Amino acid sequence: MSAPKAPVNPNLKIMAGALVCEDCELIGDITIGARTVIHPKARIIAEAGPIIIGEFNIIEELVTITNKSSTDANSGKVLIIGNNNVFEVGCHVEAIRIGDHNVIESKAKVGSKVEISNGCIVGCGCILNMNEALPENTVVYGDKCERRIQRERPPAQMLQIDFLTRILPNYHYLMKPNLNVNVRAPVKK
Amino acid sequence: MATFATVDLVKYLCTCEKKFPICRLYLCKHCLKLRCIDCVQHEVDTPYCPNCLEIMPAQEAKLKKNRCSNCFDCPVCGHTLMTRASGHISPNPEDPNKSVTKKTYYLACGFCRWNTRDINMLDQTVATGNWPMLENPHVKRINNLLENYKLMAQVEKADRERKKYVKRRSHLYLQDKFNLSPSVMKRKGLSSFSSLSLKEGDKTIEDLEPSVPVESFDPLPNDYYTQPAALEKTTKLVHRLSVPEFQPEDVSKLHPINKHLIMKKSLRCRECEHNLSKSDFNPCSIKFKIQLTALHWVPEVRIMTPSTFTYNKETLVTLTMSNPSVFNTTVTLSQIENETDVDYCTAKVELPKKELVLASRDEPSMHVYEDSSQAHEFKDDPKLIVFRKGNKIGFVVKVTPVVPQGDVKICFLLKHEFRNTTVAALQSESKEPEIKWLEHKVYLCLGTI
Amino acid sequence: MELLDEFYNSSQYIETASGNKVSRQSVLCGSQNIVINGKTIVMTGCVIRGDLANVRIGRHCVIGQNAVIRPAFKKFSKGVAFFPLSIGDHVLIEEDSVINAAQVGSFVHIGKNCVIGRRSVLKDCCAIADNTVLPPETIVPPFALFSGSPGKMVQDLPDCTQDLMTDITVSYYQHFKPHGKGK
Repeated sequence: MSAPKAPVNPNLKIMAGALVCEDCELIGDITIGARTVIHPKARIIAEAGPIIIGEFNIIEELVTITNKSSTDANSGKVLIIGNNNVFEVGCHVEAIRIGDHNVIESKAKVGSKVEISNGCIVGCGCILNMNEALPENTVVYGDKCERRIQRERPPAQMLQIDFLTRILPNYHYLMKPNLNVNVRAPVKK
Repeated sequence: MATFATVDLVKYLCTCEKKFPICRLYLCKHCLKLRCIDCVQHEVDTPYCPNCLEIMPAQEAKLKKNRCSNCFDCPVCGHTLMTRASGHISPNPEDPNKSVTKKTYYLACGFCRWNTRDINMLDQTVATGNWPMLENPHVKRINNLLENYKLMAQVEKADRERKKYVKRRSHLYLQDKFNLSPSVMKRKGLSSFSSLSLKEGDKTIEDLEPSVPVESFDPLPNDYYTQPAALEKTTKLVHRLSVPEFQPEDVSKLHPINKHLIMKKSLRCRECEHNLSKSDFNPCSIKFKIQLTALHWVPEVRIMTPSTFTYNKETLVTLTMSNPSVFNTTVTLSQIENETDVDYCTAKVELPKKELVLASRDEPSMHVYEDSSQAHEFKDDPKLIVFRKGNKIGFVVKVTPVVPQGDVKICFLLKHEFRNTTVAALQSESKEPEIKWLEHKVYLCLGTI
Repeated sequence: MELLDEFYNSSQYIETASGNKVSRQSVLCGSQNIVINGKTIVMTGCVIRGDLANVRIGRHCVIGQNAVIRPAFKKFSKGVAFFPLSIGDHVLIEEDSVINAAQVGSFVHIGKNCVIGRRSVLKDCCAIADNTVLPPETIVPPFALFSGSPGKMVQDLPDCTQDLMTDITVSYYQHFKPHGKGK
């Protein structure tokens, strides 16, 4: 049942335990940490520099994570995403650094000049463009991007990751983890 | 996709001289006139909470000031708060070796992530919560004033009843001003003439002292000029105005707000006192006990396709008309004499002179795609009638704009047959129901030059 | 305004026995769990995640381009499960919307670019305006029009919403024709 696939991406490093669906678009030098789940139709494009994604993240469908080439100082840098982050459906992320335990909600847009620390929540439809570093535990919400600081960081999504790890292999082709190996072979478990 | 956005292009004139699209109008079957939402009487059927969809009896709603007791709004963003549980492991008082997981509940907002722990409100042990409510500091004074006004209103009412009989249907608002609804009045025995004077033992009208105006304020403390403003801790105007009795200035004093109830209304024609719209008791249901929307009785005119217009040149515009009744209907279009609304006369329109016959509305055939050629059945003039499908026809009017720029708007008079198809009417007449002709003024906005 | 004929490339769409027209460029994950009752149009670029939970879509629905229909998850004491999502009949979902709802009733109109939060419940005959964000667990009562971010009730819909929605969805289906076949 395996049709000939797209050309092999030699720069893709997937750690053991990560769940990467076949249907996503992964272009460029990308490292994906353990237990991260990437739903189908996600797009991770490392144009101007490499992207390193940490562990226990959830990247849902139609999410675009781009390391964009631009004329400012961030060009060529590595886009680092920490652990336990959730990227909901349809968000666009270009931020050069994202910490841990963040939630980027549906249809949010985070520009390349923003640095997100830990425990932040960027609400649905919010657009962050200015050159800034979000303090910890900030919540950005509403159509006017109002902000407030919350007391505790958003809860971890371990239960969801466990569930997805169990059922996604039943319905999708997955990319095989290839820690330290350059060749990837698509396999349906 | 053309949906609610383009509904406003075709408007019908209501009897109160306002124009509305046909979906917002009602047809009173007894007066045979169009009624809009503004010229009908609204009556509250049931108040219900938009979140838990629980019906609250009207009396209880008045006591609780039209607020739901179980649902709360976030004071920061206005979204409904959800109850969240958090497990709490504490040593069991009886057996120090085992630890008991107690579940405590707190309210949290899913949008701005505010929760009751932010204002240091204690978590409740029960999921339904008995969330502590703030006491209004002015409640005693307000209650005294209200009592006083109720007594004054009773005296005034007694005075008025001595002079004339009460009309059967006086405006509900006046009677209800101080909770003296007709049922309440009957119980208090006020509607009889014998109790027109205040009985012995009733409270006399007290002289409440008027409020003391504040004459002088303390000057603004110097901190306002020297210290930087802590904007994260200050509430916004929106937050303060949503709770007018407290108007907290500090974010830590924001309290969950009880959710406002919404009402299920029934509508009544003002002239003939018949119900126009009565919905089902259950708030979740979309059925109606009585539904006299104009869409079910008056033919609906729609613009077929947008067209381009040029000044002083005749353009052919295709309009469609659909017949809502189960009988064949004849429709005539004519010009309006002495049109007062000049806004809608920016174009001259040449209407079809003949009568148009619309086929009956037949539910099963509406989903058939093949054009069962009805043209020969009705002998249509192909230049006038573009197509005929089911209960719909497309016909051509010639429009000539008379203004060089602006909107092209036309108006005409639509006369159609109306058959009152209530069950009673059908039973009383052995033959077909009586045909009446109704006329409505229709206003269309066709486009811009 | 009447709807215009909308033509599509007949090789792009699969027409099933019950009259559904599903685009080949839509992504239907877990298609064995997706039940579409008949005469529904699923346009290009849609993503329906049947792999997470069952998805049931009623008759005469129209799902616009690039819409995402995704069941929402619920945390139970014993773990997490995804709620089955059921969408009623005569529902119009416009482009680019993200539906994470737990239940969508019949005769509902969802505008463009909306985000319906997790575990929301949309009752029959309601409407969501364009660009609305409904926060998680919102309940939308019948005949309500929600708008803004967070979505709040702004207007009442007319009583004849059921007829209007039926008319729009049925006529949309009738005007959705493949190239080459005339009127």
